[in-house]
Order: sequence, then C-alpha cells, then structure tokens
Amino acid sequence: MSPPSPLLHPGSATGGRSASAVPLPTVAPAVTRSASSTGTPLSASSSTDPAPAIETEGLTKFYGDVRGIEDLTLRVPRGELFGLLGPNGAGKTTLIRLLLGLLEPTDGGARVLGTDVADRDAFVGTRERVGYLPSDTALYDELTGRRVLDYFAALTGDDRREELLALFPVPLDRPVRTYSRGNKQKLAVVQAFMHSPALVVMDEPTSGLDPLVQQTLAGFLQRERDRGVTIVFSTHVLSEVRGLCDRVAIVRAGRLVAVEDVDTLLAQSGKVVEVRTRGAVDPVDFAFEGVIDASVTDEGTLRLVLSGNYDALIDALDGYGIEELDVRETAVEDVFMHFYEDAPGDEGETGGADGTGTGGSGDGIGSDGATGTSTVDRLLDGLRRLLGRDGRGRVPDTEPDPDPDPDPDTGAEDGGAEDDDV
Amino acid sequence: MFEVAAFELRRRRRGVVVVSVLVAATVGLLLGTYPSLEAADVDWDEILESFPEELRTAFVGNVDDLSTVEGYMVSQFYQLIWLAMIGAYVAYSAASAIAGEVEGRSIDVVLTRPLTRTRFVVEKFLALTVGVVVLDVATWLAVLLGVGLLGESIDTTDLALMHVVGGLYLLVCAAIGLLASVVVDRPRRAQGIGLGVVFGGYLLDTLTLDTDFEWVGAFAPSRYIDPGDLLTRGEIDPVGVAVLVVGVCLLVIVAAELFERRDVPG
Repeated sequence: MSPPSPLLHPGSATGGRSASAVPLPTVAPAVTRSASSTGTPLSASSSTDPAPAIETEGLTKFYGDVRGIEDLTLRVPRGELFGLLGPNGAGKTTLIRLLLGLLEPTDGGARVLGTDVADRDAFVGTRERVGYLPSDTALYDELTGRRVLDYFAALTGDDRREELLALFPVPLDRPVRTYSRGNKQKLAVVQAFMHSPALVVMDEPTSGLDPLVQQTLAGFLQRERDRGVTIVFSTHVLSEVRGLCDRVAIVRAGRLVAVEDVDTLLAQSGKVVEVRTRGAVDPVDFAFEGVIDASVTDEGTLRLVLSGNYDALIDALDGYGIEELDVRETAVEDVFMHFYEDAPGDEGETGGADGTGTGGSGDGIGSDGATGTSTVDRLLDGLRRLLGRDGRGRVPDTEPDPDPDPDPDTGAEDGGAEDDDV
Repeated sequence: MFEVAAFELRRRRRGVVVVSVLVAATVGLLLGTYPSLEAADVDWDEILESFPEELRTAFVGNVDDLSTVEGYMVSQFYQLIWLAMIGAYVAYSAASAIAGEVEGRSIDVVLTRPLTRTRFVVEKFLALTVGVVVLDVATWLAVLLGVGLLGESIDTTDLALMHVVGGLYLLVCAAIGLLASVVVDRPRRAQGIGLGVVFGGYLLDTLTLDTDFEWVGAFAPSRYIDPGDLLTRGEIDPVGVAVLVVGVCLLVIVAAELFERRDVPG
C-alpha cells in the first residue's frame, strides 16, 4: 500500500544541499544510491495520486573529476511546466540525460513517472510515455522528414502527427539535410509529442525557432500543460522562464541553486531604479529601508532594487543633480543575474547582519571576505537578500548598522571596513 | 518488430547496391581476362614460385594450380580481395552503425523510446547481415554468370561452399566493426579500428602462418577461412567454421552488453 505523494505547493525550495527540506513520500525508498536494479518494483502510483513526473534524490554525475551535477534533489509534480535555468555548462543537459537513462549516475537516483530510472527493464516500458527533444538534434539528414517520422511512428506511434504537423509544418518530402534550422527543430518537436507522452523533456526547445514559431510553441506547451502533460525544459532565455514556466529550477556549476515559483519570485522582487547623476553618486545615501540592493555601474549609474519606500528615495535623491531616472519593474534578468554573476565575495556568512552588499557590478571590489563560503552559499544568500526574506530592510552599505544586530557576526570581517562595492 | 533493422537497411541500401555492383564488376573483369591469360600460355607454376614463400599465402592463397578457373579466382579474387579488402570494407562500413548515430545525435531520440539497447545493437547487426548476404549472393551470381559466359565450368558445390563460409567470414568482419562502433564515439575512429583489425589482421595472419609466431595472427578472422581449400579442393575446416560462428555470436553479445552499460554523452 502506498500513501499518496504529497505534491509540493509552489514556491517551496527543494534545492541544493538541503535534501531534507522536503520529505519524500515514503513510497519511494527505491531511489537508492547504486545503479543496480535494486528491484524494489514498488509502483509509486497509488490509487489516488499518480507519482510525480520526476523525482531525483542526491543525483550526482561526475565525468572523471569534472562535476556534471552534484547532489541534485528535485521533484516535479504532474502537469507542471517546469523550467531548468542556468548558464552553459551548468549541468542542465547532464540532468536531462540522466533522467532519460542516457547517462548513468555516479550517485543518487531518479524516478520518472514513478519508475526508477536505474531499473532498466521497468524503465523501458515507461519510455513509451516520455518524449524527448534534445538540444542540437540532427535527424538522419539523407532521409525525408516523412520517412524519419515514419520510423519513430513505427517505434512509438503517431496519433497526433497530423495535428502537430498542422501547427509545425515542415517540408515532409524533402531530405532533412535541406531543412533550415527552424524546420529541423519543428520536426524534432513533432517527434517528441506525436505519441501523446505524459512527460516531455526538452533541451533548449526554442533555439533556432523564429519568434512566430516560438510563440506557437509556447502556446502549444501551455495547452499541453493544461491537458495534464508535464513539460520540463531547459533554457537560458529568461523571458521564456517568465512567460512559460510554473516553476523554475536554477542550476549553476552542477548544483541546484534554487527552485522557485516564478510569479512569487518576481512579485517579491520590487522595482529597479536607475539614476544617473551629475557628479558622482554615493551609494551610502541610499541605505534606507526598502532597498534590497544598491550598486554603482561602471558608467557611474546608481542601480537600486527597491521594495517601496519611495519617499525615502525622493529624499535621498534630493541634493543630487539628476540627469536620468528610470524606475521599472524587476525583470527576470535582474532577479536571475544574481545567480549568474560571480559574487564579489564578501557576503560573509549567510543571514549575517553585517550588511555587505551584493551584486557589485564593476566597481572596485573590496577584499574577498568570503572565506570558506561556497558559491552556492553566496548565491543562496543573494537570493534571500533579493527577496527580502530576512524580514528587515537590508542595509547594503559600508557604515555600521545603527541598530545593533542580535545575530552575532560570525564573518571574519567587519561589515563596514572593506566593502566598497556598494 | 524489426523497425530499427528495417530503418537501418533503408539507409544502407544504396551503399549495399553500389558495392555489390562494383564487386560483381570486378569479378567480371577478372573473369574476362582469364581466357587471354590462359591463351597466352603463361607458366603459372613459375609465377607461383616467384612469390616469396611468406607472401604467397597473402597474395595468392593456398592454391597449387593457378591455371584452373577455381585456382585463378582464389588467387585473383577470393584471397586478397575478398578476405582483405572486402572484409575490411565491411568492417569499415559496420563501424558507423552506432558511432555514427552517437556522433550525429540521432541516437538520442531513438534510445529514449521504449526499446532496449540490446535490441538496438542486435537489430543493427541484422541489417548489416542482410547487406552482407546481398553482397555475397550478388558476387556468387556474378561468378556463375561470368563463368557461364566464358564457356568455362566451375565446381558449383565448391563455389557455394566458398560463399557460405566467405559470407560467414564477412559477418565476423561486420561484427568487428559493430563492436568498434559501440566502444568508440566517433565513427571515424571506429572505422579505423574496424579496418585495422581486419586488414592488419589479414597481414599478420598471412605473414605469420607456418612460422613460430603463428599465434600473433590468431585473432584475425582470415585465419579461419581458406579460400584455396574451399574452392579448389572443396575442403571445409569445421574448426575454422566453428570459430567464425562463435566469433560472430560473441562479438555481437559483447557489443550489446557494452552498449547496455555505457553512457551516451550528448
């Protein structure tokens, strides 16, 4: 008997090293370390809830010494449009290929549609319900599109071929080598969906598509999601994340940095204010409550991320000659750039109140204060700051916090002295 | 059921036809020159003697009499061309079967469908087998036709024997190429390995035969087939045939097992 798997509510982070953050359903002990078929063929699907589309636990893949992904724990419930976001080389493709059984993990495990990927015999059958669109697909150049689709149809069926070809037309009777990049990609989309899979995994699906086709695809993916198909795709196009995904996992350097509900992430992010002043601007003047982040760009523009408190902003701007002032919604770019930039390195311990700034862009960076904190910790810290999760107005400046902070500052450096990247 | 095999055959069919035609044409050419050589009253024995001992097997094969059609065909065709060149070509051609799809990335959308890797490998081999059979039969027919047109006669039983064992030999070459294709990601490298094992093996085999270093050439498939015995004497070596049969099975099984376990990198 298997209890139903608790579905995650959006916004709960299950990422990184806190593998215990979300209790896995007790029905899934078969996600074990070794790749041998432990053969506990527990059907994870109970009578009431189907198993999550994807479940990984501590999934790790090293190529020799090179980390592909490490300790990645993730759950994607059914019927979600789930994005994997990260820079090139982050491990998105590695994760995808592990989920599909193309690679064998070094450690950890995964279940897809309730089946342990390592259980080869069981997983073969499961693949009937999976569609895959790899990045840079090449599909038998010398044959026509029709023949290629016939091949896949013979293997897995093609109930939806005509419907998909109507949406994504390709010159079926010409050899694939004559296809444009977009047409090849469309053909790949058709083969991924034409057998009505329950889960479709796509690696950078919109690359090579012109904007119109991208739109068609986006609409199609959303309709599929509404029908209950789970769609997981990797991308580094941030606007796709915003427009398409229900939730997004951010992957960097092989580790899961965060899993967030996109709307929540953006709603909590406030506004971006960019000010160009006559004369130099001193970020110290902008250390008031509501400021999530403050930095000065190379060109001398002050960039604030602000969750309200415009009165204080106006006051602070008084006394400066303003050449340009721009207030806009936080874009996805602003939020996620935190995960792409190398932090200047002096955020110290997480949750500390020393108020060192994040996201120093281009200004002279102070000494590296992050002794021993990993990139992941710094990035998580950046996320927390950005979302204002610690509940206080952050004071991202060099002066000592007037309010003595109850948290002991465990960082080696004092928050004020050497931070000059604000 | 055999979708992978059928698809692979479709992709290879032009190549199979072209090679079969070329080989048949070669047979035609060789047979075509036979009468004039016969008429020229060449002293075949002297030619045979003129080959250094070591190279005789390599280039001429195990024949005593080059003047018969059988002896002629063994020395001109079945020994060097069939064993070394066609064998090497078959291995070369087989070597792209899987490595080509890995490099070409087309394998991704096939292996993520509900078929096992073992089935994939075996079906690929089935397609290669059909190609070998077509080539074998086409050549056999070309010889029969050519000999008929010349008004000569050839021992049809011995010829059939030659083509059965010769076909088996080519299957071993295909299996070697297939194994290389599974082990190595880049088709070019796999092709090189296939070529090297068959052709290089052929040289090592023939050069070390009847020497103290005979064991060096024992890995070569050519060691286990003797066109001279088959076609000129109608003698079949059961041990040799057994080795070839076991060799094919073993190579394909190993290829399937290896492929089950390896990563398919993107």
